Amino acid sequence: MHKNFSPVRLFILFALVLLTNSVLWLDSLDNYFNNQKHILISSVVPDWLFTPSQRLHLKTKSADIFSKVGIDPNKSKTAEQAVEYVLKLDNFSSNSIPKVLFAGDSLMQGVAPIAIADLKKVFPNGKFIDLSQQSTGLTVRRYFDWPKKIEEESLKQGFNVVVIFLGANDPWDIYENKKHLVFPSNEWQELYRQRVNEVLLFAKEHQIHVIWVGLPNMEVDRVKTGALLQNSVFLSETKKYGFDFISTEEILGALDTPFSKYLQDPVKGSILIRANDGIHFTPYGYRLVSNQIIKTLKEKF
Amino acid sequence: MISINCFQNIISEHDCDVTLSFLSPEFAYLALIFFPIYWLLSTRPTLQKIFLLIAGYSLYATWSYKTALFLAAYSSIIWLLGIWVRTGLNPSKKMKLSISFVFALSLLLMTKYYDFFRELLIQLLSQIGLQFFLPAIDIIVPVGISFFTFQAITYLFWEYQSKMKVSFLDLLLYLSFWPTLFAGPIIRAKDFHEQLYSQNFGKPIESPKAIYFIFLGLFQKMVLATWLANHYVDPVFKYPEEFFAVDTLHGILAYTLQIFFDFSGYTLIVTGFGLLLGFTLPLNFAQPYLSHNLKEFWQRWHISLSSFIRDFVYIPMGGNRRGFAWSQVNIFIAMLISGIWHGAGLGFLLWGVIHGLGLVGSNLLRRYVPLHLPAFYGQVLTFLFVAFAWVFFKASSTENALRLLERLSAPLGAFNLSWVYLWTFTLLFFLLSKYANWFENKIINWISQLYLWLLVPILCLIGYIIIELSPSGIPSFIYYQF
Repeated sequence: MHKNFSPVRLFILFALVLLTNSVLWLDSLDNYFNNQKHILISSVVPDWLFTPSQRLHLKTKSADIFSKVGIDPNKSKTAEQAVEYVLKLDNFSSNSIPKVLFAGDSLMQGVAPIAIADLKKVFPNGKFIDLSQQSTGLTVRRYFDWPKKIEEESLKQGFNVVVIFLGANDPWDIYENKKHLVFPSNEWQELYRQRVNEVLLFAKEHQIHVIWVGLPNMEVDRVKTGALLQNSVFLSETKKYGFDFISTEEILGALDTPFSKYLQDPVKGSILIRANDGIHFTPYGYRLVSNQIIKTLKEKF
Repeated sequence: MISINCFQNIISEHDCDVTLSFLSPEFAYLALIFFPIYWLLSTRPTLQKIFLLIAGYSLYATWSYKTALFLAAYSSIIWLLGIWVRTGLNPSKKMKLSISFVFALSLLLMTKYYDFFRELLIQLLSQIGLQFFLPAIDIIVPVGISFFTFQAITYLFWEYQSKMKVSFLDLLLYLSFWPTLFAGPIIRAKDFHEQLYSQNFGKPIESPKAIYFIFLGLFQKMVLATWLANHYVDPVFKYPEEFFAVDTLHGILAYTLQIFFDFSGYTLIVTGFGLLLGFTLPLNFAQPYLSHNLKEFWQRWHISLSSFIRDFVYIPMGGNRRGFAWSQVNIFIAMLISGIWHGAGLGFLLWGVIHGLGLVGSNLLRRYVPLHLPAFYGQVLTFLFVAFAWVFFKASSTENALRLLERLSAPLGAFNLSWVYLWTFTLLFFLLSKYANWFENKIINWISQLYLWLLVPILCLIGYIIIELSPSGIPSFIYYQF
């Protein structure tokens, strides 16, 4: 039988371990709470408390964002260099073979594998890369910077199409450069539009076609309100640049109607298309979205 | 390493603004407030139980307050059924027990399997030209329902056997006991209540073991399981066509290890919490991949579930009392139920069928073929069988499982250095598994002898390393879906 620690000793032990690691990871915690809980702890905690974590992670910070894709951030190019680089790429703007980047959050994580498996059959020589990552969006840029990621990957891998499906993580306040933009204020909308614009402008300049998948009906009110607003931004901006916008509302239920997990099919009856959380899909639902993406891609190639 | 986002994605997204995972930082902070209060209340057991109950329901409500209400209603009915079952004479008691079992299981069947069977039936009937519509019911499947349903069954059976008078508070506490609520291990009513009524209740027991379990569990889940998933498993299972035969084999091997680390890690963490609360939870894993045959595997893997199925399915069906042939039928049915218990899908069903056939096949071989393989070959064959069966468990559909297995006939593919890492890891895993109990005793002994001023910096460093090595995008526990 081993010696047992008293409750007081146990409390001291766990408290010290937790508090020490909280300080050593304070920069990460700040990002975590900003992205997951929409709270900015750096606005209430004194700056000097961040020093240990910043010192510990300073060297690795810039490498982290790129670690998954194996890009060396030191080799990233300036905007001018990037344009030159694109122009040098052979057949970059060719529409004969699709080279498609799938970008987005967990909704795309569900759609992309199905879409890619089917696209491989239609375009055996096509290139299809899925870089979707859960919990990402356009609002918390320091956690995951989609505009930058799309730019980097497109320049590196020569994509001629980017399919984007994201936004369900976005309807929250934005904290950036000491500014607090409340969702869904005009300032928030303006900044969100800028982020969308940034992606589309880059794509236009580099002759990359964008297929933006709109958000479907949602069960949670806040996400539903966000989806209505975000879809209007996605639609107007893609239209401005002559890109495709796929409205999932038409296939999965309009946002101004009550949310339903089921789709009414005249032959099969009610089919479950949405997951219990009221945001994600069942495999059947993901396939419906995937079919629309494939249809749009077939029209292009 | 991933410093900027190491805490990200610890819990599933979108709906995670309030959901609490045992791996989340906010859970850790709340635990730091919860445990001292809980221990302070140890001189007032009723208050302590109420506090534990509130904590369990609050944690559960972070997933969905509706399912917390469902759990409260379900527990209340189970408590009333318990009273009903323990009263009366024997013949009527049996009938009462059967009716209570039907109720306890019906909600699991309704919430978890209704849609699956409804769609299957509609599909089958439409194939023969018949149109038949069963209504669609919009139900949220409560997280952990498979676990608390089985616990409810052990409670009803215990009431039937022992006629114990369990208070409403104790029963509510049993079915909402937060360490086992989400993914087990399935603690039986008798074991739980004996500990609840013991003198140890409410005080931490075997705390060095609790510390060891919590940190080992965090390491297994956050570092090992996620590393295997991100580097080997997810790419192969998501995009099988992109990989050649040897890569696919590595994906299967990695998943075999990943599911162990995921579930074993989870079990270790909650067993550690259980000890801090004054409860010893049942053993769930005993180095399953060292098993020499399938029967032994099932005595070492998810032990609390397999022993439940043995006691509440296999033995009531007759077990081996009606001869060899019947016992094989019973084994097969028990494995089928074990498969479908994991989820409403053909993949799980097929996984159960494969294990059922494997167990029956090995029993037939043992009985009719006088061939005695060396122990090592038995271990290798068992491991390979289990590994290939996991493909059906992991793939979301039979079609996906077959798509992946088809890749084994593809060209071998060019050598990849990542294979060597996985081989080394696997070798180390088997070596450590063999001496796991020895290591466990040594380390726990060492922890218990260390001074606090020395233990604190060591655990701080281990905690730091775990976070440092955790890849980004940590998924939720695999067994939460069951």
